[in-house]
Amino acid sequence: MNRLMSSMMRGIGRKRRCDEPGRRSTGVDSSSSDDDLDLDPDFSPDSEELRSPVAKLARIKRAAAAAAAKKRRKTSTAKRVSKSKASDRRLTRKSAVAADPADNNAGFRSVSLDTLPTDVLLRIVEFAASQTGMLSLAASLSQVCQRLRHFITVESPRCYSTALWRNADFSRLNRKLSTAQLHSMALPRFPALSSINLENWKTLRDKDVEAICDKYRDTLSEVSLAGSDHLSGRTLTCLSDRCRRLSRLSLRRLPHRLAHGQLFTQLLQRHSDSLVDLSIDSLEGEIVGFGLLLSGLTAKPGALSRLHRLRLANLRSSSLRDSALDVSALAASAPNLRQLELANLPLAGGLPSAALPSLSSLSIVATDFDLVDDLSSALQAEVDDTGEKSSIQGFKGLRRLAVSHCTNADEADTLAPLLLLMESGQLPLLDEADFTASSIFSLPGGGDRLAAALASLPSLNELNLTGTGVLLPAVRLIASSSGSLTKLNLTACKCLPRGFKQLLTSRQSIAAWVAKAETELD
Amino acid sequence: MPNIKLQSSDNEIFEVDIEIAKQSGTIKTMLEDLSVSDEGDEEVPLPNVNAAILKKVIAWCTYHKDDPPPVEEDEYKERRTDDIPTWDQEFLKVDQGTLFEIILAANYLDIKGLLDVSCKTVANMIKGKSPEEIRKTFNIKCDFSAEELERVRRENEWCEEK
Repeated sequence: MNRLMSSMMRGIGRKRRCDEPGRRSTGVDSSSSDDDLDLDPDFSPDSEELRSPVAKLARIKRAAAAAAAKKRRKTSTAKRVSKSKASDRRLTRKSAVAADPADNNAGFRSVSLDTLPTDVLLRIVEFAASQTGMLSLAASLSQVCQRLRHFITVESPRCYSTALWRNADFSRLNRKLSTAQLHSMALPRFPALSSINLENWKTLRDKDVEAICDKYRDTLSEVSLAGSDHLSGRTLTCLSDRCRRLSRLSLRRLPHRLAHGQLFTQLLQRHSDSLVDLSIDSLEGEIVGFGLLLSGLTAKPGALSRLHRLRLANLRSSSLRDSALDVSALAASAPNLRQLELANLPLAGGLPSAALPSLSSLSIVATDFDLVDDLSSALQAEVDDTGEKSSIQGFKGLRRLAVSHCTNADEADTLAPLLLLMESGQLPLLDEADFTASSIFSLPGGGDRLAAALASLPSLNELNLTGTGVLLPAVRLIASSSGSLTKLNLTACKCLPRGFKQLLTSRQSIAAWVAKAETELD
Repeated sequence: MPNIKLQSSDNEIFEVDIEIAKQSGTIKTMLEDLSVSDEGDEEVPLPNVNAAILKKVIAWCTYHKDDPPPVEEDEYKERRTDDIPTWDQEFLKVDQGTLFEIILAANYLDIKGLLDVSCKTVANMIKGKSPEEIRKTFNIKCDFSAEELERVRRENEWCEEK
C-alpha cells in the first residue's frame, strides 16, 4: 500500500511539474486521463497489498489523476498554450533542479526565486503586481536574470493568468510613449487584454481605439478613456460594435464630439446584458441629445440588470435643465445598483428605495437642493402611502451616504424622510456619512434632529461635517452618543468655536473633544 | 479524533489529526478516493517534502485548523499583500530557503491558505525594488552579458516607474 501511495504522490509531483518550461504542458481538460499519470515503472503490487489488483490499480490511478487534476484546477492559472518551444530548452536546466522527483531534496535545497516552477512564480508575481501594476514589475524582473526574463517575456504571457497580463494601465505612460509606440511596444506584451486604461493620452485618436478594439475583440471588457482631445463619436461606435462584451466603461474629460446621446443609447442597448460599471464624467462641451442618453439609461425595466455602479457627473447640455434623470425609472432599469453617484445633474422624481435593495453607496453631490427635496418627498410619500416606517426596505444595505455641497435649502423638513429612516433604524449598516459643505445643519430645527438621528445610527464609523453650520451641542450629542464613531471631521465648521474645528481620527480623540465641549458648554 | 501518519521524504513519520491533514487538498483527495483511513495505519508518503518542512507545514495547519475552508478565487477581487495575519507573519520569519521550500510544499500539498501567505511574503520582498535590489535580496546572480543587460534595460526603459 505504501508503495502504491508513494507511486501516486510522486505521480502528482511529476504531473504538476510538467507545467514547467521545457516540458510538455498539459491542459486542464485532459488531466483526468489515465495516460497522464506517471506511475513508478518499478511498481508491482504484492498480494498482501491488493486483494483485487486490477480493481485496486484502477482505483489508485483514478485517485491520483483526480488529486492532480483538482490541485491544478484550484491553483494553476490554467490554460497553458500548447507546447513549449525549442527556445525554452536553455532554461530547463535550472527548472530541472526542482523538477526531478527522484532528487527532490537536493532540488529543494537549492530553490530560490529564479528556480521556482512557473505556476508558483505566477502566483507570487500576481500578488507583487497587485496595487502597483504589471508593467513596472515586469520591467524590474526581466532585468534580474535570464530565467526571470524568460518568465516575463515567454512563460507568463502563455498562461491564461487571472490578472497578470490581462489588465493594462497605460495612464502614466503617455509622456514616455507615442501612440505608435503604444501599438508597437506596449500592446504586444498583452496577448489577451481584458482591461485597458488609456486615461491622459491626449494624442489618442479614433483609429487607435479601433485598432485596440479589433486586436482584443474577444477579450476586452473594461475601457477607461480620459483627457483624449481627438476622440469623436467613432470611438463610441467602435466600443459599441467591436467589443464583444463591455462590462466597465469610464469616460472622463472627453470632447463633446464624442458625446452624442444617440451613440450612448446604442452602446447601452448593445451591451445591456454585460455592462456592470458605467462612469460618464465631465464631458467637455454640450452633449447633443442629452435626453437620449438619459432615456437610454431608463428605457426599459430590467434592461441594465447587471449594472452595479453608475456615475453621472458634470455633464453639460443646453437641454440639461429640461432633461432630468428620472431616478425611479433608473431604479427600475438597473435594479441591482450597488453604487449610485450623481453630481451636478438634475433629477426627476424620487429615489424609490424599495426598488434598489442592493444599494450600498448613494452619493448626491453639488446638486440643487430642490432635487434632494424631490428625493425626500418621494421617501416621505412612501412612508405616507404605507403608513408604516418599516415598509422602507431598500436602504437597509446602505453603507455610505454622501449628500455634499448641496445648498439653497429653505425647508426645514427637506430631509425629513432621511431623518425618518435613521430614526426608525432603517439604516442599520450605514458606516460612513458625508455632509461636506451642505446647508443641512443650518436648517431651522433640522440640525438638532439630524444630530439626534446620526447619534442613533448603530454602525456609523465615519462622519464628515466639514464646512457645515453644525453647532457645538449637536456635535457633542453625536460624538458622545455614537458608540461606533472613530472618525469625525469638523474642519471649517463655521459655527464651532475656535479650537473645536478639528479632524478627530480615534475614539480617544473624540472622547477628549467631547470632554472639552462639555466644559465649554457648561 | 483519528490520526494519519505522514512520511516525509527523509522517512520521518508524523502522526497528525486527520482533519488537520485534510487541509491539504492533495491528502484530502487521496484519502477520500482511496479510503485509506479504513485500511489501518499505513503511512502516507510525501516524497516531495522533507521532515523539517513537513513539521512547519503541520504547525501551520494545526494553528489554522478552525479556519473556514478556502473560497474559490474571484478574478475580479483585488489581490492584496498587506493582509497577512500577524501569526503568519511571525511563522514565516524564516530563512529564504525554508520560505521557498514551504511554498513548494504548500503548492504540492495544495494548501491554499499557506501558499497564499507565503507567496504574499515573497511578493512583498519584490515590490518596489530595482533589478539590482531584487538580485541582492534573493542572492541571484546576474547571468546577462554586459551587452545583453544593456539591451534588456533599453527594452524596459519605457515602462519603469520613475
